[in-house]
Amino acid sequence: MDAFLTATGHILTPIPLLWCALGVTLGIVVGAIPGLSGSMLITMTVPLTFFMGSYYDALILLVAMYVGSISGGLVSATLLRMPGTPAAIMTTLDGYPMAQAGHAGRALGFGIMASFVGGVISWVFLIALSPTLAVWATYFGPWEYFTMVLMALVLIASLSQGSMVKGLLSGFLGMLASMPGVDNSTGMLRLTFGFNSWAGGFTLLPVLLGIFVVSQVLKYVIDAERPVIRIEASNRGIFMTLDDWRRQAVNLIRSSIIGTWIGILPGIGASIGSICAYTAAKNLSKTPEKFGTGTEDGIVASEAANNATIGGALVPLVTMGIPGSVIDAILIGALLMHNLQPGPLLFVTDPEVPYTIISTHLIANILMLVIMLVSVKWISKLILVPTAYLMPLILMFCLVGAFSLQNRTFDVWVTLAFGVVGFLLERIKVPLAPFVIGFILASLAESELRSGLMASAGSIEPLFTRPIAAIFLAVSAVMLVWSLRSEWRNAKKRRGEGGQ
Amino acid sequence: MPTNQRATAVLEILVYGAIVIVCAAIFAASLGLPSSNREPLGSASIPQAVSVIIAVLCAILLARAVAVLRAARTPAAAEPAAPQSPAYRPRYDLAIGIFVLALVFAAVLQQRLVPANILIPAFIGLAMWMLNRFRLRALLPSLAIAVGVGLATTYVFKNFFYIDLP
Repeated sequence: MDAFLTATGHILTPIPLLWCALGVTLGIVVGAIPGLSGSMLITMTVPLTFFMGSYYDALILLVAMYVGSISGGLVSATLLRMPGTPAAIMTTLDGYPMAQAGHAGRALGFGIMASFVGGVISWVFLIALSPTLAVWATYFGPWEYFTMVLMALVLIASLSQGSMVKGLLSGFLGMLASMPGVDNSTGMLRLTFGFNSWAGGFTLLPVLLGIFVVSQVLKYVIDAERPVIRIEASNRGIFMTLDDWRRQAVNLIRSSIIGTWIGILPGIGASIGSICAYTAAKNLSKTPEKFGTGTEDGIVASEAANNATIGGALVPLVTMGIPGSVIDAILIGALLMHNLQPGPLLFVTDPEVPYTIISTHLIANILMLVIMLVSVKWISKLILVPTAYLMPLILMFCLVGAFSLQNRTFDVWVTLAFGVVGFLLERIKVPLAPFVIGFILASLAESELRSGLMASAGSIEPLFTRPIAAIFLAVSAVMLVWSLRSEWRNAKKRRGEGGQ
Repeated sequence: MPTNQRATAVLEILVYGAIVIVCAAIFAASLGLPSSNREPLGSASIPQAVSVIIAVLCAILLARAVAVLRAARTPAAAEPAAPQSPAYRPRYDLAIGIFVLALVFAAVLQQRLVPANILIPAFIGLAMWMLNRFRLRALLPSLAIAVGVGLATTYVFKNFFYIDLP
């Protein structure tokens, strides 16, 4: 409790509060601009956080950006029918028709309020679950960690949009990309192919910059001439009435809980949470036919859930060092770069770090509500910033950011190379999120497997005899079989339809 | 079968093929790694296992992509689809252009041929003008932004973030 109060007190002092407000504002703006995403912004900001006074302030800025970017996506989803972030994809279905019908302010208002409520409800789960789970996680041994990483990979591969096989391919490619360099446990160089510069391996940040920024810049440039019709935003009807609150209360709570739960599952992000909550709201509605035509219920379900995934996703991050989403994977990278080892021991060694993350999540949500309500009209004018002027600046910051890490151009080449990898993978519909999760978790999986094997004299029996490890393994196996089976059945169905 | 679906299938075959080759190279390279005396896993086993799994997944995906291409050759699929007017023209040329510019930027940075206060504004200005299809009316704003932002960021990078730019 002391650590929580200390962390909250620190955030409420002028400079950290300024970082928090700046992070939320930048996040909202970036989230609102189609093609830019929170992962891009946070990845580009991580190198700059080395120059900040303390890593607490760095965490405040990054978490605030996270909250802002997921929330900002609703602006372009509502006004352009283009989700600013993938998390807002379901908001387009009802936000845009509602705005088209002349209720843009009301649509945005419902979205903002739902985002806030989703954020706060998930924060309650975050603060309530994290300390307990962290204590529980200290009982985990190497086999539990290894199977949990396995489960995270299988979950994200099976639940990421598209094919399960492609999701798995992406995850394993990420693992493979993390392997060149010195093998920490044996001290031997591996997979360097004679290049001295590969001895240190591929650093996380250049890989992230390539995968998330360069590839997206290329994609955005290709789609530069995509026509968009923008609806003007207004503040009319932006505040929900008491009657609105009463009608949406159940939907808000249900969607927030779904979002939080989906967020807690390792590796699964806001877009899946939003889809699940939207589907649940539609299935349980007395008027499901109204969904997709501009109903408030759809906006509320989508936005409450996608913001709730943030708090949920932070649970495995602060308690076990396992990313709940792609942005959490980047946050783990940021913690590691600041010489902080995310995981349960952080609550013991430096409790202010996890509590800074937890407190920032709440304060950023409050700031998001205020900033969005006050400035949504102006933010909506930024969403059509010309690509031709924006993309070169992003690319330049990305390349110099990669260079700044170790003052070497090797990282710039790595960024460009992984930019091409990310671009090509996305072109053939291989999801990028499992790649990043695989890249980050590979070393953990390998070292834990190694420790486990050393402890059991080379036997894999503990995988099946240790209850928690066996449960994680069983969940992974069930998810794998279930996903492959449904993929096979879908393919068979498609072939049947094609043959008719 | 729409042309873009066929093109995607061809691209898939090329990408998965390249991944299989990379995996084969990694597998071969890891064969030369000595086993460890201290622990049972060694440095080679995980890269080998992962590259084999990737190769198997690629084989499955290659088979699917080939099936899509084969379906394209059937008479029913070969019938010309109703002409669809594209909503917009994808600008692959601009994407290649800006990527080549980024490669040149990295090469010049590596060789330290040009000081950063010229390199960065030049990169931004050229990229902006290129993305504006080299229109003359875009030249002035591109240059103005490039010089303003380029010089300011170079100053900040060098003097506040102490980045070792040329």
